[in-house]
Amino acid sequence: MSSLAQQRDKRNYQLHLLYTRQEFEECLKQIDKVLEETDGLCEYAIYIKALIMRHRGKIQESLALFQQATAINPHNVANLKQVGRSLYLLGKHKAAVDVYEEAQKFGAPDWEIMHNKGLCYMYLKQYDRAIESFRVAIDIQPHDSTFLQLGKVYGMMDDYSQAINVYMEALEHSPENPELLTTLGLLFLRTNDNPRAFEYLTTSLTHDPRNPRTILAAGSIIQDQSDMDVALVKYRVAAVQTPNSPQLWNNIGMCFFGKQRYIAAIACLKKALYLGPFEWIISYNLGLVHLHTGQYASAFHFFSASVNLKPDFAHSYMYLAVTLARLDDYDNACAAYDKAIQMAGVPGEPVFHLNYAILQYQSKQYDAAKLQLHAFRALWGDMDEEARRADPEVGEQAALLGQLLGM
Amino acid sequence: MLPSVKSVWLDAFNDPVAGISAYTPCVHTCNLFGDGENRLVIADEDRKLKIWKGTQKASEHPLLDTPVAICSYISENTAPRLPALAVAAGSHIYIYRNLRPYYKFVLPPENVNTEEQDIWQKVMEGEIVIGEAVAQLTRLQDAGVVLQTRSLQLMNIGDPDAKMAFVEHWQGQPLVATTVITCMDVVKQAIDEPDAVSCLVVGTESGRILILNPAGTAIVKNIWVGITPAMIAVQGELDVGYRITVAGRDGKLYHIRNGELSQTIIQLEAQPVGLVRLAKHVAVGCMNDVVHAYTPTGHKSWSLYLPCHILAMQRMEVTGQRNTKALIVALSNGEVRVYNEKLLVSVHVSPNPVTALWFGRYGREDNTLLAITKSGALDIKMLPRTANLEAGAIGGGPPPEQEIPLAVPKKTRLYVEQTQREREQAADMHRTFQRDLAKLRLTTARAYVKVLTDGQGAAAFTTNTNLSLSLNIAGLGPRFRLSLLLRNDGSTQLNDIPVALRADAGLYSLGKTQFTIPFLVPGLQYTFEVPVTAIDPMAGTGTITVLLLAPGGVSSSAPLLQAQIKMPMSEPEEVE
Repeated sequence: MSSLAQQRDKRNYQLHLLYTRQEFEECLKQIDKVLEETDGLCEYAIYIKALIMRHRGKIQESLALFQQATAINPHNVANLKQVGRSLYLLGKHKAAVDVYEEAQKFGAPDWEIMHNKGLCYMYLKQYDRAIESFRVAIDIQPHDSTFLQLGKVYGMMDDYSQAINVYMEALEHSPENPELLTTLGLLFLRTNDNPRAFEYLTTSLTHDPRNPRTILAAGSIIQDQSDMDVALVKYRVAAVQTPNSPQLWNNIGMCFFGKQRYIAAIACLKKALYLGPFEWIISYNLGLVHLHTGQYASAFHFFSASVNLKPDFAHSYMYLAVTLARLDDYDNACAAYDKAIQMAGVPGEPVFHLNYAILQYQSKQYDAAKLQLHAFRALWGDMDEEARRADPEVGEQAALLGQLLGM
Repeated sequence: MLPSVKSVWLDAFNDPVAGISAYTPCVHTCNLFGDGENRLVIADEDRKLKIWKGTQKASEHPLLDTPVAICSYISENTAPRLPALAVAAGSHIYIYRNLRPYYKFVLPPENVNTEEQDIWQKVMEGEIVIGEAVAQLTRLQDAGVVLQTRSLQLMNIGDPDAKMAFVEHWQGQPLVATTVITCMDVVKQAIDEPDAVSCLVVGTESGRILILNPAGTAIVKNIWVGITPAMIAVQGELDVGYRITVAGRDGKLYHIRNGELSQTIIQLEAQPVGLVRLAKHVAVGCMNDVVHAYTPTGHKSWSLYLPCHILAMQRMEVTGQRNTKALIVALSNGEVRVYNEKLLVSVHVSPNPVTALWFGRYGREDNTLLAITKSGALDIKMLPRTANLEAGAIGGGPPPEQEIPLAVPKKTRLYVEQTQREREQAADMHRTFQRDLAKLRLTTARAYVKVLTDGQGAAAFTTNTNLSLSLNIAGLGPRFRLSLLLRNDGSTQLNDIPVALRADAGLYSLGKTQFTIPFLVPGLQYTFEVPVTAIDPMAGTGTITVLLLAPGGVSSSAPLLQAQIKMPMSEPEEVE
């Protein structure tokens, strides 16, 4: 009888080494050799084989192997934990929770069990229980992955302030985790706290300058501050990583638009539209650029596509109306203005009314124009000084129209 | 896409066909013969001890078993200080001096469950039958005892004769539990100097850490961890105070302080790939491409997030003019990186995946990096005295991708001319388009109405009630069978639907020209059959139209559904 038959665990160290180095092919070869020599009685070899099978997506096969390992040593929690994990991957969250609860009865508190249980609860939409599990997991071992999942649960519950707290807490443990920094930055972006979002996104970029998610978010903030050249340089890095991202090309296109390079802008936006034909914002932006270059017929098509893709964005209707007015389609323009004003609701957007008033004036509907100008002035008066100064052209146009209408 | 960090190493020697297959624990350099010139010792997987001197293989020595790890240590205080070479394999440690076998240490057997032992005793003495023994062993296993291989084998054998033979095979040999070595390191006895007396530290498959005496003949400390150690990292001196960090196979880090297992257990997110002790921390690389550095109290100091898998890790203890303890990490994309604390100070690329890394004195050069790759190549690099390990390249400035211009799609002159035309005639274009669009819609609507009113084709469906009907003709003629396949795709059932069939009365006679379908359950396929006879097989063919009328109680007279089928040419009637 060979030495391996007596010492079934003799090669375990090597299996562990190969597995952790992720040399799965060679590891499987070794496992088959070990199992042959030990009549399939080496628990660890079966366990590792099951892990590799699962890694390759053969979850059913791996479950059978875990059962085989459990038959050799029925009291090993590791097997139980992996069965739970397999069930979780198969989407049988309820069953996975049951297995984890069983595993919890053995031995010491375990981060892995609590973390995975939290994940199951998250997919079962039992958020309170998920939070509870994640909290216990963090108490056992404060791993970034648990913090990220906990933040995600709060995000799903729309509790952004709690989510931010969680990520802040996580940053105390790993201040340089780019994924945490980016997630936190995006969360601040979502809560309209742009300066802080930018702070975290740039910190993330210093640690991982190639993450396209971070670049896109940081670039959009830079773009909002009208610093087009800096944003374009950032996008260059992302373009190498994700050359087929419609959002990226959309942002690049708008950068060129900001730099008044319209042909480049249209070229990039059209590339974005080709990559993501159902992204309404690309159509909307293409409409804006075409409106700007005086290509009203094209602008009409893009705005109408945008309205079809996202019917609840009032500005699309306003620009559609402007375009229709330029195309001498008075009736439809009025219909679009009415729709835009109706969608903007109360209090409403002053610019909608002003543009409508101008159209009415041009088509000699002076009474209707006066009515719209009134509505504009009421809204304009309610705005604060700073908002009014943001676009001086609006004020000028309103004054001119007022003169013409004698108001 | 190289990071902007350069390599600090000087290439010294490279043998692409050295034919070595060994992993990090089996590579070592030491002053093997006490002549001050350090040799490279590799315990190869093909059971050979390979000694390299300078740029050449000096000798090869066969080993009895596949090696697990090798170490060298000073075992006696006598001069000259000649290191002993320890090779761990299976459950033995072979100790060599002057490259000659000197002593063999055997791991003591583990405790076997006494009941299991008793069962074997009895079955070998014939006191109980084998079936009874198997039943008792199963009971034992259910009670939570981890059985020995021999018991499991016995339980696994199905054939009673084979069982008997198996027991016969082990006749007279008491049940013992042997264990094997999984990892090995060295701890200094009293003082921390390069040639101070040290002891071996061994991790076993049974979940123990053993510390041997300097001679390697007896165990001075036996620490029960409870989980198989995969890697160990030792710090301090045995007599003064020491700390052993153990990376367990369960993905947890355990700490042993002066012989006591500490309560601080760090559970990692993924299985550990490498464990390296640094000046203040223990760095552990995990399968999820992260290296964490933990302080002895179990707090995380920093983490390194790597772009791909970790293959090997090694400690880089620079000696000579300065003392730096850095970390070398080999990655699956071929990069070999050096981190001083968390600062990346050097990157170079190896053409093949690295299997083993060693840093230490080789030949007469203090700071040498030895790397072995999957292809069996040996690569030796030296650290020049001027190498800068402090200048951190954190952030590393902008990534090189920033210099690549954006691939903005080009637009042709024709496009620009067309835009010019659009600017001038936008309103006309729009009007033309709108008119044509309206025309298109009108044409479509007309075509649709035509299809609805004609009801042509062997299959039909309606939009408002969600019925689908298809017709089939079976038979050669002159007797046919017409099957109506009807399906209610809507969500509500339909009651009492009259069906009418129409055909040219001169050509065909139908089995029934009308009937009523009492009930149509949603989702089921219904089949109705109507016999059809061609009156004169020679008279040519016609069509049969099937009409589904609106159910009773609905005032509309328009049919719900209409389908037509063209009849095939009939065979002549067979004359009997």
